Amino acid sequence: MESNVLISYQSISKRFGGVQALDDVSFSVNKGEIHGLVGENGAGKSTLIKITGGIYIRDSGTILWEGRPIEVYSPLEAERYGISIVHQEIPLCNNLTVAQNVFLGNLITKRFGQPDWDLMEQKTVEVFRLIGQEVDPKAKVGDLSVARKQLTAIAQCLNRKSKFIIMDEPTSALTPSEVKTLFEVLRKLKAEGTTIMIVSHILSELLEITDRITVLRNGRYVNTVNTKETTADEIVHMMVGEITLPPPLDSSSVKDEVVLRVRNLSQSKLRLNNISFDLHRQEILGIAGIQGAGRTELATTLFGVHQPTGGTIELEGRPVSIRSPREAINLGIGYLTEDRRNLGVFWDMSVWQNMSSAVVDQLTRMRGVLDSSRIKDTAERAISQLQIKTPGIHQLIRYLSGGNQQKVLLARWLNAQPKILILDEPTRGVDVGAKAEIRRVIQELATRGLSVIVISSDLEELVAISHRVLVMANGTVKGEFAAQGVTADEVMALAVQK
Amino acid sequence: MQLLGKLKSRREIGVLAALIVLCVFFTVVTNTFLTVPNILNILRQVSITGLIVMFMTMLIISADIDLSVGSTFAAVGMVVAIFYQNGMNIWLASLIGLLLGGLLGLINGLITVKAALPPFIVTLGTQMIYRGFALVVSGGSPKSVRLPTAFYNVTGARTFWDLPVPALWFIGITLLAAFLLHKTSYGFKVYATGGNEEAARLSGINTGRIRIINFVLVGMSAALAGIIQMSYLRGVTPTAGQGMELTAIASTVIGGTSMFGGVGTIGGAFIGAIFMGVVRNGLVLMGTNAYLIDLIIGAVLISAVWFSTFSTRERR
Repeated sequence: MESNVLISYQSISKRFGGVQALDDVSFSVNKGEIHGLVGENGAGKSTLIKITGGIYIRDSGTILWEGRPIEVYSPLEAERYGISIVHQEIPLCNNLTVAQNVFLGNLITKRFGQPDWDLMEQKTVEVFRLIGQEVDPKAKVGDLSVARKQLTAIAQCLNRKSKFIIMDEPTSALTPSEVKTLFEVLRKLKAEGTTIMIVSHILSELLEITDRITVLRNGRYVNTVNTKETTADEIVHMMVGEITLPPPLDSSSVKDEVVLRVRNLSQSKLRLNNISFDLHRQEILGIAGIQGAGRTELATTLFGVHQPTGGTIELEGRPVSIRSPREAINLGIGYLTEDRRNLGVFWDMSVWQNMSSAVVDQLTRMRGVLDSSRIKDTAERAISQLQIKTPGIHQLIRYLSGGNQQKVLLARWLNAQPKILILDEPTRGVDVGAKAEIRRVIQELATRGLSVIVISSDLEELVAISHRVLVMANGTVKGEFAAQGVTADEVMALAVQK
Repeated sequence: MQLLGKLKSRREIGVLAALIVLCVFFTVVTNTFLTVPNILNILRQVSITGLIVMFMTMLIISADIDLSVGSTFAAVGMVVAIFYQNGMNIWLASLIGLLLGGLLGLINGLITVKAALPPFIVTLGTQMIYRGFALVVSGGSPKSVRLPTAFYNVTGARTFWDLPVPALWFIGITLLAAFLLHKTSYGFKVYATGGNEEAARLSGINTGRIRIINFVLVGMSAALAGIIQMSYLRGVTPTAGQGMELTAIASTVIGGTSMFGGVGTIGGAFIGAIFMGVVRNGLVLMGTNAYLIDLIIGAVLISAVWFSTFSTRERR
């Protein structure tokens, strides 16, 4: 009898220094299924994927591939077995065309070794047809949207005859309609007999697309459930044990005083057009909108990264022009970036250094000499206030989980003691537990006198934590809601309105 | 202060171990290596380039590079010598020389940052321009100087216990650079700029200014090296310092500084500078064929960097 199991993990363990990333994890993925893998940041999902793909070597345990034990020491060997990983950061060559990327490392050549581009372009179109997509094989990958890049990466896997495709957070940068397309593609792949494992934080999507879901917690295996027989609540419970929801918002604490008054703000290059709104003291103002609505562009313009081409900004009744991030910080504005990986974290620096980068001039005595005791106090206070899990302030930030990295960046802006804090996707790519804590901190900050602008694509969250929600589309403000009583669906309807 | 201790401890340990192994080897195979005069000699030999290594390290940590230091070195030495020959006070001439070095660095920095050009290309260009300048003002001929004793005593001479004064400058500048990079907010910003320039800018750090100041510091250190060399040799040639930038960069890299920026220490750079000196000195003492020495040093450079990264590379 032929077994239905494609890959079986048996007692996999992996240790990094003092951290047990995986501890005796065992489960199997069946042939032709879509398997979800969930867990908080630091639960061991990425480690497991990287072991499967030959990027890390496990300390102990066995991996059975179609019933036989295998050793995978490099991504190339993984490819040879038919295991492919589509990473969150899609590693394609932006300067090459779609066809060139799809056939990267697999070139079809003519008699004297010249690449046969015509044939490869034709085959690229065929591969895309297989997943129900049309493509221009000559388009430069650098010009494609994230969603199209992802499809190119999938086509690359198909072209390599992958049997097992692992996708790491495939939907985190996609719009809802792009997610729909991706899921259609995945269903097609499944029908063709390809096995897929999806790692994601977005449970509703996993419930929609997967056959079974495996849950990890703190490096240990918790359970594998049939998707049809489970609910989001049940999975969340397996992931975190108990969750704490933020207490309901008390809008009586919002003051009448307007801290930030924006009138007719425009930025022609960023396609921001005639934006007006007020931010009150101690208010949490949510900004909703789909990708490309101009939310991040508005935030960075307020933060002095870009100069407005029209309109006015008033801070506490005083008209200001903000020419650089430094000036914004000095005026009491903080901005937490949405792109933690590229624009936020200093990867070679420690926890305290990452926390201090916006205020390092204040952590000194005698003209510029760092004051180690003040640095230590400040960092340790932030670590305990935000409950950051780190062995110490000198730990390199790269060794922290995503949620803790995000809290360190939040601490960077709290240390700057701003009056206005702009948080751009503060809970993106962050696990459920850290999400709850970050929401708690945001609400706490508002009661302590800060005014907060929150940009989030998670509308349920936005409605839950804001006092008021602005909806943006096409670079301008389409409308606003008092958050109490409004539903995410109503907000979405306005955000996608023509 | 231990705040930056964690960062410091990593790669340099491997190079330090390699340096010790090397010293033991030379001590065994020669009977002149481990003697006080020879150690002082090594210190003096590395001190001129070593002055530049410290600020080159800082510059590479902020993800820039300067290939023009050898030309700045010659140009400044030449200008100071000419001013002195024409009757200017040597102290004043040296001060002008230092400022000229800073100005040449400022030009590098302004072009690199304001025109957003790769520093490799910019300083490759100014390397030739500054060298050309040295050749033009000198008419291509060497200048010799007879310096006042007071000036010679604080730049080129030997002092108590036969210590070479250039070596004292080297150690002093090393301590100064270590303080600046590891104990001040300026040093912090250098790491931030090289580690993630966009994130640094969003943290309100004026990264352009940090990079330009680093170029100025490198230029001034090359000028200081040029003046000290002129004093020690009692003269200067317009072709002096060719290839110096490569020795300086090699020392920096051996000391554990990443060419991608954001990683490195002054302690490591110091070890790297000594390492380069020890290899050359030891090979000479062994009576190695002069033509062979560069070949061996190149191989040692690659092995040392490989050894230090291999020994500290993260386990997969």
